[in-house]
Amino acid sequence: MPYHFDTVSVLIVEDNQPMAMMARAILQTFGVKTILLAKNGEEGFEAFCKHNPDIVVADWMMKPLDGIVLTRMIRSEPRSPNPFAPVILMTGFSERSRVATARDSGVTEFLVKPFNAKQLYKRIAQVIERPRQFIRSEEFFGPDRRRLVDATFAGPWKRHLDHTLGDES
Amino acid sequence: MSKERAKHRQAEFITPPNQLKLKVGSGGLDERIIEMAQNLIDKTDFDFLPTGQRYLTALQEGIRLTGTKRGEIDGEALISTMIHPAMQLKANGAMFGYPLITVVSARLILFLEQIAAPNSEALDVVNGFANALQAIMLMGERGKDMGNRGTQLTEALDEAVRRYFERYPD
Repeated sequence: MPYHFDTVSVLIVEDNQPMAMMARAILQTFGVKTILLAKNGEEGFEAFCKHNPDIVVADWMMKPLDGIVLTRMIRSEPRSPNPFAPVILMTGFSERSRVATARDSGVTEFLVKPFNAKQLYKRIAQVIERPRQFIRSEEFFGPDRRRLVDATFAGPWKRHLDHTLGDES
Repeated sequence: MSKERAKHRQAEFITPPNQLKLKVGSGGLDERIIEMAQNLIDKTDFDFLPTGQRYLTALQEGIRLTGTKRGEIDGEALISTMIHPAMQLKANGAMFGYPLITVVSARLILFLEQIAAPNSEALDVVNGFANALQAIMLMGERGKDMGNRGTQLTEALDEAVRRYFERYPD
């Protein structure tokens, strides 16, 4: 049985109208029936609080609030109806430092523009099939920033060792 | 590790319920549906050039501002006035039928990410990129298969970048 996206709702937050329309058309082709649109992080957070969508697909660069701030609000604002919501961040940047910034804000998946239909599908399939554990610490709340988790090792030094070894997975 | 630091690093691991999986079920999407979605991108009739020209004008404005305010404003802030429109050109070009704009802008971003301070020679290189982008737009050069002109253009830009870093290796 294939995926049934007809009961899934997606919020697209994108200030570039043609890009928003393109993303919406792709998601409609995938079978998503409920697609909400917002033009920036501020509108996006209002729509998120009101509709509690299953997935958020947000652009990075927007004014007055960008996709990173939106992600932080989804994760930490008391009004947020679901701090665990998957956030797929779209951006033209692909440099390592930028990816790290996005990851540290609590983004679930990173989608580099220009993208193709398969790449968007893969990010969605990823949040469905391999949802990340969440981590709450003094410094961070969001999806586990390590892709590969060694389930056999639960030692107290694991995070320290990962840090020391420069784990970027 | 001190006790204080160890406490600071303590973390709670939470496994949220996977409601999404319950909603969509299993099995993925048929390859044909993904191809249909890709067709929407490939056959878009949106005319990107007016939007692209706006981003290019913003890039040219960033170059002008950097040229006049160098030394007065922080280098990173000046670079961001050029890198953001370049990023928009890179992100949108290939989505709307102009892969060559994406190829050239991606090289420009790489260059801008590597320079610490925008000196006049760096600005010459950035200007070269802006002129190349302007030429691509004026000629309506989509560059889907790169072609000779696209290859020559990117090789010339790569050469300009190489010469710059030969002179300023750090």
